[in-house]
Parts: sequence; structure tokens; C-alpha cells
Amino acid sequence: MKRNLLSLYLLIATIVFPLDHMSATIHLNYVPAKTRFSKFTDKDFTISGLITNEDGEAIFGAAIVIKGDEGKGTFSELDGSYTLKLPNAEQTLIIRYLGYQSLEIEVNGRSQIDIVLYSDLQTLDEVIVVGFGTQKKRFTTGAISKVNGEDLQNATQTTVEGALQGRVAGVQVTTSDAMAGSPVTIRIRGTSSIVASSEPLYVVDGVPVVSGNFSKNNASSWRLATAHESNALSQLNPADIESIEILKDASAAAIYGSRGANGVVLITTKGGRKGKTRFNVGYQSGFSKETNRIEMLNGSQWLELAKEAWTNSYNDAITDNDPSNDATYDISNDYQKFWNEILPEGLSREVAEMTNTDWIDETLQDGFFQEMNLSTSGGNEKTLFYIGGTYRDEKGIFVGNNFKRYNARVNLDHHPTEYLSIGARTAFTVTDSDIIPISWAGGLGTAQSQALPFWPIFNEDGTYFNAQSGNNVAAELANTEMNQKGTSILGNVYAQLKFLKNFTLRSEFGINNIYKKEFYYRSAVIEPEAISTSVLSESQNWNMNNTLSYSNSFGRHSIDIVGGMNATKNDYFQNVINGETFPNPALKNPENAAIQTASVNTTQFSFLSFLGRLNYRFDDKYLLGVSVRRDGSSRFGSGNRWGTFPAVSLGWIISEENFLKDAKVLSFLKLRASYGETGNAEIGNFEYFGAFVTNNYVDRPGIVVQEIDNNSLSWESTKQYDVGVDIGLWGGRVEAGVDVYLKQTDDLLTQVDVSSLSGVERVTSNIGSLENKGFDLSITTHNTRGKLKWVSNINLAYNTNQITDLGGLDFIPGQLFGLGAIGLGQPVGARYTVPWAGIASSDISLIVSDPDDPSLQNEIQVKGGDELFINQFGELTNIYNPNDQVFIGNPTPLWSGGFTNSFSYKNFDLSVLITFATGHDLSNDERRFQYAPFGFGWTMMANGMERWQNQGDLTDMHRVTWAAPNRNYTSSRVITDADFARLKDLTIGYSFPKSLLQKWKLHDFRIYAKGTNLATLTSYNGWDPEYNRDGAGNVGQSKSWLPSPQARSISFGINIGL
Amino acid sequence: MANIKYILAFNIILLLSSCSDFLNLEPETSLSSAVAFDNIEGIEAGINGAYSIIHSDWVERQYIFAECLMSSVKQVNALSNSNYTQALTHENWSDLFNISGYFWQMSYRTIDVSNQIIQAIPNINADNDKTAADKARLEGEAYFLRGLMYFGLNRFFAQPQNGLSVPILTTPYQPDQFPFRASIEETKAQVIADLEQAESLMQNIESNDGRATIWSVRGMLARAYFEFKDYQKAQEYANLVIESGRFALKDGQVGSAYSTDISSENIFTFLSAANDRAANNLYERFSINNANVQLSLSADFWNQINQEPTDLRIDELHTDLGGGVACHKYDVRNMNIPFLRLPEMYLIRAESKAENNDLDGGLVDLNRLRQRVGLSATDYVNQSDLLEKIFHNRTVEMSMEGQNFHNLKRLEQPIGGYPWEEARFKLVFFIPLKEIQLNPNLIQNEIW
Repeated sequence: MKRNLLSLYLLIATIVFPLDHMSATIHLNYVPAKTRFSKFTDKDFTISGLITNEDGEAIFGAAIVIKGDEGKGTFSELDGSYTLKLPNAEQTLIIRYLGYQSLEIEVNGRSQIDIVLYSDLQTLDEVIVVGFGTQKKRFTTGAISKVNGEDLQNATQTTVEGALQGRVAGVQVTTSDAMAGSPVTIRIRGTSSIVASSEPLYVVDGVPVVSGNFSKNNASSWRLATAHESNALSQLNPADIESIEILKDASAAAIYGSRGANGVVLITTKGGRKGKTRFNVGYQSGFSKETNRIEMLNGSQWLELAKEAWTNSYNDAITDNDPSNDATYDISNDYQKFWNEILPEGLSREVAEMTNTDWIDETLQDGFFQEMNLSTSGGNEKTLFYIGGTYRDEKGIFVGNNFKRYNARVNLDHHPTEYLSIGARTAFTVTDSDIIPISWAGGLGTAQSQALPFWPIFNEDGTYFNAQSGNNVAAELANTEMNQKGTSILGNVYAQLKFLKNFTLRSEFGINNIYKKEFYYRSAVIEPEAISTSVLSESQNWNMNNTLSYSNSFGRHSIDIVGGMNATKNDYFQNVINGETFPNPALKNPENAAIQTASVNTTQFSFLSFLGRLNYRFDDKYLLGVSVRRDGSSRFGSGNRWGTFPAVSLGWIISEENFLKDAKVLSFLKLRASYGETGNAEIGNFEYFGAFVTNNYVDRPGIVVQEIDNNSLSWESTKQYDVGVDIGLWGGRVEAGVDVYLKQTDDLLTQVDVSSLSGVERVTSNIGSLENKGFDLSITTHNTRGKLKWVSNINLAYNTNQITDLGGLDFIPGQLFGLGAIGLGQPVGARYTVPWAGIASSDISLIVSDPDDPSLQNEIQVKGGDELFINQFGELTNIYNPNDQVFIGNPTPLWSGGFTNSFSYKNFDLSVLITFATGHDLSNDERRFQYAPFGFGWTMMANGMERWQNQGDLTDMHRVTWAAPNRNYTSSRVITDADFARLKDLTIGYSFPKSLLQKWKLHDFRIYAKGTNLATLTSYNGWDPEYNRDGAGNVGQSKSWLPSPQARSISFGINIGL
Repeated sequence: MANIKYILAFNIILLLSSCSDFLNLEPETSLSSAVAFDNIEGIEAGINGAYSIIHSDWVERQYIFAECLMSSVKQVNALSNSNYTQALTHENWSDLFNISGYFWQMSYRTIDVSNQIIQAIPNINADNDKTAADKARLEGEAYFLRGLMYFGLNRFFAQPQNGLSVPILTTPYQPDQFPFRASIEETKAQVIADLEQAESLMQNIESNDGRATIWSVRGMLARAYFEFKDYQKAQEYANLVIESGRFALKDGQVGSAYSTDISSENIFTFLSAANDRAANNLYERFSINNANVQLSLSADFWNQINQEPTDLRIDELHTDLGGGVACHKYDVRNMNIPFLRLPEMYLIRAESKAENNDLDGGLVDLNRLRQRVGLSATDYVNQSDLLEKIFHNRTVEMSMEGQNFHNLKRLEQPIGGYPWEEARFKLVFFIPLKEIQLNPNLIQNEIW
């Protein structure tokens, strides 16, 4: 690991520095542009010259003072010129200007010195938003990453979190699919839970918001399910964002206590700035397509392989001397039995043989999107405002998928007096999306599984072929409606009072309400009777923060204290009405149905917290941070309701020490160390509560047990150690930060089986531990400046995840689809399966140990083309034995990160983002059926044509048979490497020159073209290596089921400011 | 500005003062288990809840598994439950597949609620006659349901090889409890004890409305004693039910039991509502009204029952479609499920009489049933001939009702193509793997 890091650093250094180092040297040993030697030795010595910036523009108001006698000096004039009288010619001048690096120049007897000031590259004085306050970056002691809003502007992604991809070290972002408004999974420093959510807490302007899946479709039929979750965060508009801070280590996140274990994402929206009222108009529009398309068998290939499989099974029956099988795979009568088996009603052999339907083609289309942004901002001494609105209209790459969003935001700050400020952050969002079934629910999922290529789309009479089978994708898409309409309000009002000079009292009250109306319909063409579902849901969330802070300095001591409380409550309500059988196809609302069922679902949670933080600083060099939060949650029984989450952190700004103060190269060096405890309570709301729920016997009120008393339930607690270094070189031309961490999570929230004798099957329990350890690194270099500016950033994270305790067990078997097995010493989500060893190239016999009695050896016959496995004794075998299962594969990347290069030359700008992830695998679970499709009525990927046929064939594709002996099982054959590097984002822009802007009376005018996911380097042979199984939790995430591609898009945009 | 100060201060005080209640949330749509059975309404709701657990899937599972295991059905379209395919093909359904899990779960869920109710009942204050009567009825129903569950569990899990049946709990489950499997004899004794306890508590409960009555209890006792081969008792209870006058055979109307009504032949019926569809799963498996009907009668079974074509049960309840034989018992999706029917009582009484050497008595009952289905009276040659005729009548009568499999077991006949000596050990459910893992005292049934 160390070696890898070192070599990576060297690589970057090699790329970046040769050119750069020279200019840096030149810059540091400053040589004035024009030098004229003078031999004056008079007492009064006058010096003059011009001060310009790196673009050659005059700087007005720069201060020029004499070192050691700083009371004496002057300012540059409007044209950049200056004149200053010196006592003699051997002085040193200091030139300072806000936003630029200060410069010291020895006069050395020169009477004219022209000076070029370079803009200050150090970000150390940036303000960083931390929970319940702000800090200067220079003095932070936690691991906090900041992304500026500009980096997210004009993102083609619909969601804010999606746009974070590749921009922050240690933050892994995965979009689950290309459906507009899809959920995004974020893992900050790895997965830290088995059952509870591992998503970070999102806090927008101080309000913790509802995130994750919002649509909970309790429809009566699984056919109405979408296999698709909706993303509550898609309510946020990227254009409104000022900055995003990501709290990664426990010292930063512990102020969020029991909600902070997965890290915290603080989103700050834009406010107004003093001065002239500005207007901004932006428009972008683009096209999208799938990133990749996989090839399935065509009609004749499917029939060819199916017949071959049938014949092989027939021959097997003869060799195995099994007359009943021989009769099953009857090949007499021109395979009449075969055709009977495969032809659905209404399809003749002749039509089947002529048909070749590309079902995938029926589900994908060219996407299109457009987005219009309008905003205005400004203000005066008393009032600042920002008003923004966005309209986005997107047609997705899946047939039938549309997404519309309307955002409006008003942010206001008012200062009636010097001591008081009041303000509001309010946003209103309306979304309207047509979604479509994917994965197991249909659409593209069916197109790669049970829609067979020799089926026609239509019967001869123009009606849909086999419409009610659920497998005619075209019929399904044309006869299904799935619409979700959402309205959300996110707002926060605050009042802040400064008193007694050093105290600030702040009170905030915020709400985040989401209302959602869903409608699902399947017509009588594809169902025996039309069915529909109408869902209305509402999530009301309010939040209150009250803090008192104190800030003061006494000589070399500085102190900041904040104490306060936070209360949050969420009420969720959902109403589902199902209807079936309608009098007329034009009536679809459940209201009109002959049979109606309704259900209501309500739930709530609340958190109450008290928090305090002390930051102490001595001599601007030695930093100490201490925080503690005491949290109570309604999610746990009264005995385990409260927890305390402390954190402590230390920092030492070494570069401020005398021995480094004058270092030429090293401009900043800070060492940080922290320890803290955080919690995770992201489970269901009443899991501790032994409860009966209604379950009526016909019309008679009845109750059944739902959960048994579970009073010992409490949160997961995560202890995190972090050591970090922040380095600045050459006045910020290189800034780097690296953190090494160990994150230990105990009392894991896990579903534990309990005996059915208890009346229930499972309870949530605190069992076991896991750990994440690794490092994250970010380096930003300003490679060149002047006319050509080139800035690079690389961020890189390494993380390993391991379950270190399972409450004394070394294995917990999985439930759903066998997704869930977890094992001691394994990463969360590793696949538990039998190791696959390829395809036998010819008939052989093998000796294997008897699983029941290993002292016995059996001889087994392997046919050419059989699948081979490794058994528990390490022997090669063609027998699939579930007892041979082992954990295989790593579900989450070891290495991930992003590499950004931004260039600007004159009025052109170019930025390129490459993201990458390596060291992980995807388990392509659907392939266990795709590899042996014939008995199941599935189709197969086109590489099925490379099947084994003759003795000696070397191939990865087995000999096809009708009833593949091991067909029902997953082996490690389905696990594939999913490493990738991807050209995530490429933007080329042109800003019109100032001279033209002045003529046009504009402030800004930029046009740009942008490409997303333009190229991908990967050995993965499925749709897209970037995959995240929707709704499958931490354990199932990288286990795919009929996945879909991501979108590749090209867009053009324009931004005008006046 | 001063106002703002007060508002801020008020805000803080308001919240600090109410913090203890703030976190005490209770779900609005569920009931704390601590108070669930505090009153008579709660107890009644618990009993209704128990019926709701078993009234559809529990019935369907045991019917279909039994028919699959005895190979009386064949698959015509993909079965929506792969466990049935495994039962049907007698594929090794080893512990990996957890076939029996759901049936086990539903059974013990019902047993647990019965035990909770039996424990809670004495604490209910009976301040008037009505409450006292309700208490007795509800307690009786709890015993009935528990007996019904152990009867069903014993049918599928009892392994004659080791003589073990299922764990017996008669009080609410405690987390530190690791019960052993009771012996088959103990389990049978528990079934009888529970049903007889129910009988004593439900003396006057007659209303036949989808909940157990005294006649449901006695009918179940007849079925249980009969299956446990106590023909004396079986005859006694069957006789009680037949002679009660509460029920009547409907001559010529063999389909009357399979409808949305409660036929006069029904002794115990699981109710269904339009949107509830207790029989929906059975409908989806068997009914040709369902486009993707999954099961038909197997050719062998059809040949076995199709011997007198004028038998109304053959003529009206089955159709030979060429590719398969459809059963029409579950053609109505929201029908009530007749769990105990009067013809079964006649069959029990006939066979018990025959077993007890009252051959003429047995013949009378048999001919009564033949009359019901439009067949002329028959006669017998000897006891085994009479038994054979009753067996045939029962097999036709109970087609696709999940009972014939257990009847073959009672009679120690070959089942599903296996000779009896093999079938008796093989056609037994595995104890769900999860239960074995969680309870070291449970011994797994031998693998086939």
C-alpha cells in the first residue's frame, strides 16, 4: 500500500512538476521585468514602477511599504503606477494586495521596478462550514472536504450528489441507473453497517433532510412495482448551491452524534452579495445514450442453441442409460416435442424461425434534456437576497422515462441593526416523473431475460403477441403507466443576536416536507383485469437548532465555544388504494374499480440532542477541538434511548514555527490527529417495540404479532481515529492533504434470526463489529499560470472493509435470493458461493474425496464442456455441492478517486474529470439463468455462441444442455472484475472578452459544450461497471440483477450574467 | 429587537421543558404487546388474527404439498412457487431449500397467539354472564386452533424412523427456551387433549360463521381419532356430528361446498371476502379460469378416480381436457374454503364401522354417499371389499383437498411411486434449517 502511494505520488510529480518547478523558481527568485541600474547614493532615493497582475492588468490600490518601517509607504494609482521615496537604495519593499500573494523585493539600488502580483492560491483562509458554525480552513482539526458550488454548476446530472462523483477523496459516489432522478449511493470511507443505512446524513442550511428512497410502493401486484427507488434528494437544485462540505472523520461528524457515523454532507445554498443587483440566465440542452449495450442471442442463434441443448440432453440420456429422459428429449418426428415445448400458444414454427426481435431495442431510446436557470442576487448594507429558479425537462434513455423538475428558491438575510440578523432559506420543488419498470420488474430487465428473440412483437392481426405473459416488453411498456408527482418544501428561518461583544445567540427553525402522489396502472391488455394503484404520501420533517456561541482572544489565546440543542421530528404518512377490474378502459383510477383495497401507513421518529464544542488555539499554531453531543432517539426503548458521542482533535501548524517560518518551498504544514465516537440509528422507527398489527379475518377485526419486545436494541457506535497532514508548497501552488484513518463500528445493527416458535422470524439486534481502514489523499497543483492556467487535482482513496466480529458466529446465512450471507473476516457483501474452475475441454475422469467421508475417494466422469468447480478439499470436480461454498470477491473498491485537469487560455477553458475505481467485483447474479436459459425460457448473452461443442474445444462457455445439471446455482463464474476508469466529464467553454461585454452591457457571457461518461476503460463485460443494486442494502449492493447501463450525454449551454 | 430576544429564549425553554415526552413516540397503527390481551376485545381480536394467519396460505400449503407428494397432480404451467416443483418432482428438497419453513412459521405463529390467549384469559375480569360466556368460547377456540396446528404439523413433520414429531409449547415462548421434539405419541396426545379441552369449553357454540363451533371441534376430533386409528372414538365423534341435525347432505349438488356461501354440508369453513380471496392461491394453481393454470390431475390419479363416469363428482368437478384434467373445486377466486365437510364424517363413520366389523352399518353410510352423487346403491363381498369401496369413494370425494396423502399414510399404502416402507420415511418434511441452527435440541429428520 505504501509503495503504491509513493509511486502514485511520484507519477504525479513527474507529470506535473518539470515545467512547473522552473516557473516557481523564477517566481521565487524574483527578477523584475525591467531593471535599470543606477549609481545614485543620495540619501533620498526615489523608486517608481507599475504594478500589474499576471494577466497584465493594472492593479489599483496595492500597498507598497518599506520592510521594517511599515508606517511608510504608498498605494498604486489607477493605472498601476507608484512612486515611493526611500531613505536609501538598500531597502526591501513589501507589496500587498487583497487576494494576491504578498511580495518582498530587495531594491538593490534600482530606481524603477515593475512588479507582477500573482493571485493568492492558498485556500487556507477560506471559510469552512462545520456543523453549527464555521471555521477557517487553516485552523480546522477534522477531516473536512469542501466542494465549491462552481464545480457543480451546469452538471448534466440531475442530482447534487451525483455531481460530487470523483471530486472528493474518500467519498465514493455510485448512481444506481440511468433513470432520471435515480438514487445515488454515497459511501464516505466505506460501508459501516450491515443492515442499517450507510448513507451519510445530509444537512441543507442547517436542516437535516429526508434522503434515500421515498417511494414505498405497497401495490397489490408485484407487477406494479418498479424495482426502482426514488431519490428524495433529487429535490435539490445544483444551481443553487454555494458549497458542499463533507465531514469525514469523527471529530468533525461527532457534533451530529448518533446520526454522524456515515459522515455528514453539509450543503449551503447561495446568498446575496452587496452591490449591484445581478441577473444570471443559463440554458443547457443535451442528448444522451446508453454507455454500453450488451449483445443477446438473436432469434436463429437462440433456436440453434436450444436445439443443440435438446439434442445434447437426448444424447446424455442415452449415454446415462436413462430411458425416461430419453423419452423426455424425444428427437424423433423432426423434434416435434421440442417445438411443443418452446412455442407459446399462437406462434407457429415457421413464424418463430423467421422472427428476430431485439427486445433491448424496444426499451432504449435516445434521451434528451434541457434545463433553464434564472437567478438574481444582490443587496445592500441591510439586506441581501438570492432568488433562483430552474426548470429541467428530461427524456431518459429508457423508453417511457420522463422527468420534469421546477425549482424555486428565495434566500434572504436582513440586518436591522449591527447586532441582529434574521433571514430565511426557502426552496420549493415540484417534480413530475414517468418511471418504467426495470430489473426484475420488467422493461430492460425482461428484455435480457425472459423475452425470447424468436417471439414477434405483434400477432398477425396487429394485437400484441403473448401479451399477458408479462414478457412481451413492448406490450408491457405500452400498457403500463407509472407516474410520480412530488412537491417538496425545504426551508429554514433564523434569527441571530450578538451581545456583550463576544456572544452570539442563534435560533433556527426549518422544515422539509415532501408530498408525493404516485399512480400505477396496468391495462387489461397485459393483465386478466386492469389494475391500478394510487399512492399519496407525505413526509413532514421539522428541525430546530438553538445555539449560543462565544468567541474571544486573549493575547495569544483564542477560544470559540458553541453550545446548544437540536430537535428533529419526522412524521410519515402514506395512503395506498388498489383497484382492480374497471368498467371501461378509459377509467383507470382505483375509484372506478370493482374491487378496491386501501391501506394506510404512518410512522414517526424524533431526535433530541444537546451539544457543545470548544475550539482553542494558542499562538495560531496549536489547535485543540473538543466536542460532545448527547442524543436521544425515539427509535430505541427508554432504557437505551440516550447516548453520548464525544470527540477530541489536535492540530499543530508546524509551518508557523520559527524553524519553518522562512522556508521558501514549504508555505504551510499542519499536522492533525483526532478521535471521536459517532452513532448510526438508521433503522426502522419502532423496531424495539413489541407490537401487534391489524390483520383481519374477513370483516372481523383481528391482530397478529408483528414484532416481539426488543428492549435491548440500541445504535451502532463507530469509533474513528484519524491522523492527517495538510501541506502547502510555494505559496499554495501545491496543496495536499492526506488522512489515514481507522473506523471501528461496534454493536452492528443486524437482523438476527429467531426461532419461529416466538411467533416472528427475525429481530433487529446489536451484534458484531466491523472496521474500515484506509487513507484518502487530495493534491491540487497550479501547474502553470499567466496566460495559460492549468490546475490539476487528484483525489484518491484506499479503503478496506472487514467484519471483525459476528457475535461469536463466523457466518450468518443470507435470506433474499441468497444475497445476504455475511462472514467473519470478510467485507460486507462478499459473495458466498462455490468456486468455479472453467470448462472441461474434453472427457476426463477425476478422483475426488467423498464429502460424507473424506477418507474415501470416488472416481467421477467429466464430460467435455462440463462446468468445473473446486470442492472443499481443493479438488477439481464437476459436482456442484453447496457445502463447497466460500466467500469470493470484494464488493467495494479498494482504490477509488478522481483526476481533474482544468485549463484556461485567454477566453477559453477546458476541464476534464476522470474517475476511477479498482479492486472490486460485481456478482452478476442474473447470469446463472443466462448461462443455462433453455429449461427456464430465458435468453442468453451472445457469447453463448462460443459454447463447447467438440472434444478439445477451449472455451469459457459450457456445452449447452436442456436441463443443465447445476443450473439452479450461482458459482463464482458470475463474479467479474469491475475495475474502471471513466472520462466522467469534459467541458469546453468560451467566455466573451470584457471589451465585448462592455459593449453589450453584460457582466458575463459564456458558452460551453460538455460531455459526460464519454469513454470508459474497463474489462467488465456487462452493461456498465458502475452499478449499484437499487434497494438491496449494504449486503446486496454489488450483486447485480438484470442491470442497466448508465447514460452518456453531450450537451451545450450558455450562461449570461447582467 | 427586544422581542426577538424573548422569542429566542422562549424557543429554548419550550423545548427543554418538554424533552422527556418528545422521544416517547408510539406507532399509531400497531398495538403494544404489553396491552394486546388486556381485555376481552383484545382476546377476540387475537383469535380473529389467528384465523387470518391460517385461513388462506396455511390451508393452501398443506393441500398442495400433500397432492404434490402423492403425485396426484402434474404441472401444466410454471409453478409460481418453486418449492412445489421440488415436492412434485421429489427432487432432493434437502434442508437448503427451506420448503417447510412457511408452513412451520404460520403454525407456530398461531400456536404462540393461542398460548398467549390461554395464559391471558384467567386474568380477564368476567363481570357479567356475557363476558363469562365469551371467555369460555375464546379459550375454547384457542385450544381448538392449537390442536389444529399440532395436528397439521404432526402430519408433515413426524418421522417414524426416529419417532419424533414437533416441539410442543403450551405456554408463550421465552427466548431462552430450547424445546426438544416431542414424540409422535406425545404430539397426538396433545392434539386430542387440546381438542377435547375445546370441546368442554365450547358446548353451546353453534353459530356456523367461519369460526370454530362445537361441531368443528367434534369434526376435527373425528378426523384426528380416525387418522390415529382409534376407530371407536372416530365413529363416536363422526356420529355426533352427523346426528346433530345441524348439517345436511345436499343430494345432487356436489359443488355446493365450493362457493361463496356456507353450504349445509360444511362443518368448518374458512371465510373469504371479495378483496380477501382465501382461495386465491388454490384458484391460481387449479382453476382453468386462470390463463396460466399451474396444476392438473396426474394421469394415474385421474385413472384411479375416474371409474364411474356418472359419479357427479367426476362429471361436475373434473374435466378431462386432453392435455390434462382440470379440477373445478377452486374456480371461484373469493370462495370460502370448506375445511371440514359432512361427507367426510360419513366416510369416517362408514370406515370406522367397517373396521369395527359393523359391515352393514358401513354399507349404509357408503350408499348414502353414493346416493348423494347420483350413483346406485352398492354391496360388498367381505370387509376388505367394503373397505376398498369406501377408500375409493373417499379418494374421489377428497380429490385435491390435501387429505388423500395422509389417508394413504394411515393405510400404509404405496405413495407417489414409492413402496410404503420407503414412502413413510421419505415423504416427510425437514425441520426448517433455521430452527435447527437456533435450537441445538432439535434433531433433523434423516435426509432421503
